[in-house]
Amino acid sequence: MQSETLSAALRQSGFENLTFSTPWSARLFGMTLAASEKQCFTLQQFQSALIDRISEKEQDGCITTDDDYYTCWLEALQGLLEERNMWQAHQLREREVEVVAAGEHRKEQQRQRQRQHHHTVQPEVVK
Amino acid sequence: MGHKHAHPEKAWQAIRTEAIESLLNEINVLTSEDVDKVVRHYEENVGPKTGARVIARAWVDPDFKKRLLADGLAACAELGIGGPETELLHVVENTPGVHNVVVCTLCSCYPWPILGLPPVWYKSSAYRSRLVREPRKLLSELGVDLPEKVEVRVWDSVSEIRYLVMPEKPDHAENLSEAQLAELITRDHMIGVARHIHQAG
Repeated sequence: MQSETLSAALRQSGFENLTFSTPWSARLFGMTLAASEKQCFTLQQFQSALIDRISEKEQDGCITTDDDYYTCWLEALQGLLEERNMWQAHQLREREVEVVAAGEHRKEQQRQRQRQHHHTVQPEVVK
Repeated sequence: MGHKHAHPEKAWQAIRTEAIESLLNEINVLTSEDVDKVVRHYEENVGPKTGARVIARAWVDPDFKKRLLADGLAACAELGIGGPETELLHVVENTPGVHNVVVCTLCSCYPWPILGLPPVWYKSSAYRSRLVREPRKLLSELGVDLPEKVEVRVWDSVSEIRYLVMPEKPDHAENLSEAQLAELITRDHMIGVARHIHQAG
């Protein structure tokens, strides 16, 4: 990121509390702090894993967005949990497939509801 | 770190994050409520106003200021501020001859419980690499022009220590209450990428 962009980003930054740019980065952040509170690892161990991951990433390019940064965070957390044998590699792959399938299922249900909505008269509340 | 799924509608990071959370739920490491609690706390309760409250107290209470400079975390705890995420908080004071600025060159360590989440630019490669290499130039580009006689101190949060900059109390602020003073202090002052405190009017 060039300094002009940096400067623009700085000017845009207000005084408000920052929130997460994506729902997954919020879950990831929350999971990391919650897992360290449960003593799965210390925050220092996580920090060290994150430093390694960022350093690898920066060999290929720069971190300029929240997505770049939280992708490093995700890979650091995943690595740390896998070192502790929290699951077998195939379990994570299978769960990802299930997550995608569940998402598709939810969307299909939503589409069905929308179709039904168009064909039925909705009761209205009269006050 | 394994295969990254191409999926047209959902980012692979979102899928993997959900899958990891689901596995952690299943093996009873943590519940969704544990995660919700942390997220809610950071989205709703913690932000730069927390840090501003600490600095404003130090400006009006010299004894508190001494304690804050001696042991940042213990002094913050007096105000009910803190959390397990920070082990050591070192507060560095700006003076007419010294300007302090904070960075984390290796990742993005930040005093979360005091300032909330770091902004995107703080995590960027550009800020992290350039601030150490050419602090005066970068600060000048960010609108902080420092005369040569002002020493710039760059604090790199590489170990367990987190840093917080205490800006100089503005002149002619005697009539302002602690709460009014807190309103003048921004996150950028406490990171050190802003120096002068602007008073309204």
